[in-house]
Amino acid sequence: MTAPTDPALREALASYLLALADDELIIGHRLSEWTGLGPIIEEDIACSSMAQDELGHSLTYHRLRKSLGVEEDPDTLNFTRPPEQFLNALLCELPRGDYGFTLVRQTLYDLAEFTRLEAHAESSSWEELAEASRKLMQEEKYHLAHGEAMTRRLATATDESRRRIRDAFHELFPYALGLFEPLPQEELLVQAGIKPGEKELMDRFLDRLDGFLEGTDLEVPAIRSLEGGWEPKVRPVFGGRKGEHTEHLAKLLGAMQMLVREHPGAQW
Amino acid sequence: MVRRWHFNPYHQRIDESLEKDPGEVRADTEWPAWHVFRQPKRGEAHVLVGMVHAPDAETALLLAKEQYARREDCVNLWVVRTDQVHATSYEDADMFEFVSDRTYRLTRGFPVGEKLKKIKAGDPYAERLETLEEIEKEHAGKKIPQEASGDGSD
Repeated sequence: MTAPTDPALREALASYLLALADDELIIGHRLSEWTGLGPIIEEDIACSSMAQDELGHSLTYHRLRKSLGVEEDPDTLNFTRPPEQFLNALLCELPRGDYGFTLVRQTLYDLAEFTRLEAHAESSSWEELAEASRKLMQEEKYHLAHGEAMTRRLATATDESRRRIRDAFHELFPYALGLFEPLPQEELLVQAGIKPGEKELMDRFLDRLDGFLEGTDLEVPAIRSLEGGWEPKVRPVFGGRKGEHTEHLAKLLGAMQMLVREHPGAQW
Repeated sequence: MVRRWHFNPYHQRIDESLEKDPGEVRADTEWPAWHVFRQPKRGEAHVLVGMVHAPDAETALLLAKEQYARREDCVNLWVVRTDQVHATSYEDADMFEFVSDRTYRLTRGFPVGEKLKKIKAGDPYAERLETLEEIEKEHAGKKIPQEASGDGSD
């Protein structure tokens, strides 16, 4: 189908796209914080380059919003919004931590993103979203390969690297589930066939994660139910999709928005 | 350590990286070097583009992708462990020098022949014949121009 015409559905879709755009923007910013500080020069460059990819993904979602008729300019949105208007999941805004923490976060995020893109690409009733998702998956393929290879190596290497990966994994897992916090108008999008429900996406994500963890000493902190879904043993950390954030987002935005706040309307 | 404040947030990290600098590099923690070859299109040759450090081939390919294929066209990458490359010695570089007239090894006649055929067939670029003949005359008996010597037909 072409872009939906029903106003309520359009609004729900615009919020959904903004949430995904914000996820990409904020995690991209965190990833860019390794520029100049990467553990090895090759990883430094890889992180910087993937950070740019994530910003590109964010822009893709803003373009989709535009095709829905949303007038807001992405630059104005990103550089002037207060934290409570950002819809990103809290996973994306946590401080960068050590390199193990970054890798685990990135791998969890990429596994989740890939799952979502695949679902859009295969079955979204809005062809434009399906098409854009197919394109993003091409880039995401590398992100996933990079994150998985690095994380798996560290998760199976020395005592110290295993401990760091394990600690990061247990700290981050509840936040990763937060990527599947449903937006208030979720039902409209599911009924229109634009996307599967967040619970279904989370189950597919956990299947994928389960496969990834094979061969490491980590396992998914969730119980597989008889119907094939998962019941997490920990509480997912929700709130981001409602604009409820940690203090870390305000600090991040302080750095990101500083120039624009001090020199409104300045030209590059 | 006194923290300096920089207007650009990226420059804040100079202090941070100095703080974290271990001061010495231990050779036993260095990963081996790999040479990276990039193929811009299918069927074209893989071209040496640079090096990466990586613990194994899979990681080397992953890192090479971001270092050497993020702006340029690429359909395929090779990595070769640098210590697996066999090379001649610079001390023997004199064996590559030309000490006698080698013009008899050149195959410059072939491309000219092709062009002559075109000219006979009424090619509009016929005026190039003059130029080519001039070049032939000019180079007769002189040192071989670089671009004409790479045919490997010795």
